[in-house]
Amino acid sequence: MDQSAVTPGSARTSEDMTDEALMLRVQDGDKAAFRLLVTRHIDRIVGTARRIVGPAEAEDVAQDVFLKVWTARDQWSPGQAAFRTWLYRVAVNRCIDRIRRVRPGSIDEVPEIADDAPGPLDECERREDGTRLRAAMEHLSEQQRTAITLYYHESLTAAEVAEIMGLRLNAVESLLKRGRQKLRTVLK
Amino acid sequence: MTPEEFKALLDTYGADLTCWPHGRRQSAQRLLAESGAARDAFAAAQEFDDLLAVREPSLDGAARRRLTDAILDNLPEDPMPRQTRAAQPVRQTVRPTPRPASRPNLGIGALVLRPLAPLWVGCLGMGLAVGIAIYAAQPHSVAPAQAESGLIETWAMYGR
Repeated sequence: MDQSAVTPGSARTSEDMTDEALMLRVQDGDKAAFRLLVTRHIDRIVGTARRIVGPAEAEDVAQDVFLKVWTARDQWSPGQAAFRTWLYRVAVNRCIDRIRRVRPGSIDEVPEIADDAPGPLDECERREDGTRLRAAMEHLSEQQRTAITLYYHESLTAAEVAEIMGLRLNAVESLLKRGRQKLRTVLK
Repeated sequence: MTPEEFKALLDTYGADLTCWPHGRRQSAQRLLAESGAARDAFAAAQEFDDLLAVREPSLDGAARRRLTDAILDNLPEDPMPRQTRAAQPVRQTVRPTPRPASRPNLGIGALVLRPLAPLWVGCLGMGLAVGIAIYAAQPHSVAPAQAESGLIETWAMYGR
């Protein structure tokens, strides 16, 4: 671990700094600021990756995401996008790369939802809901899965999802609608 | 708003009305106040939203530290950090000097003299000839022998 990276300037790096302020320091090579950003967002990125690519590869994807953030840090511009939006864009791109590389993708390989499973509403309060929902989401297209994850799991607005995915708002609305309808059918 | 529109919007945006387009919220609330079927659909959508929003379990402290350390340990060395880059002298790139675009020459020489050069030469010749003729037509005291010695005088003789 590189603790020597704490520069005199980074001594003022603190928990209450905004992501954008930290990212400006990261752009100057401040690894302490980068560590704080990673700590702040790692759970959400791992969670997003679990939903989109699956739990087995989620941590690898999260590592890729933050390494990409570091190497491409000069590409972020505070006036263009909130750091969180940019981070999710990097994450979604890495997830899609991983899906396309590892799994050329056949819906036939998707695990079936157990027929005798209790109704989804009864399971809401149980931890297994996450597992069941992940299995159901594998029935969605890659884009539907991404849109649903960002909108419901990450609580982003449809406009933010559109910006992250590089799509028009009405395209995202269509993905959300079809994805939700499909999930309702699969989880019924 | 019709019940069908309401259900379509529930499918698109979920049951959190704050996420709906601003112009549709009031219509939705009016429908909810009036229609029991709309309220049932709304309640079912809320429960489904809760399912979709189920959080993935957070990493425990040790796993988060391990993953964060792995990321920090694997950062590629920056060959030239931004501050250093800023301090580097800018390499002068020699670029070929662009040839100045040809400017239109709007001087008198370009507009008048050059295109009409043959005319001017012709006029000059004519002027000389007329001058010689006038000169030759006038009586003068130059001896014929002297006149014959010069070309001009020779021309004057021909003019007589």
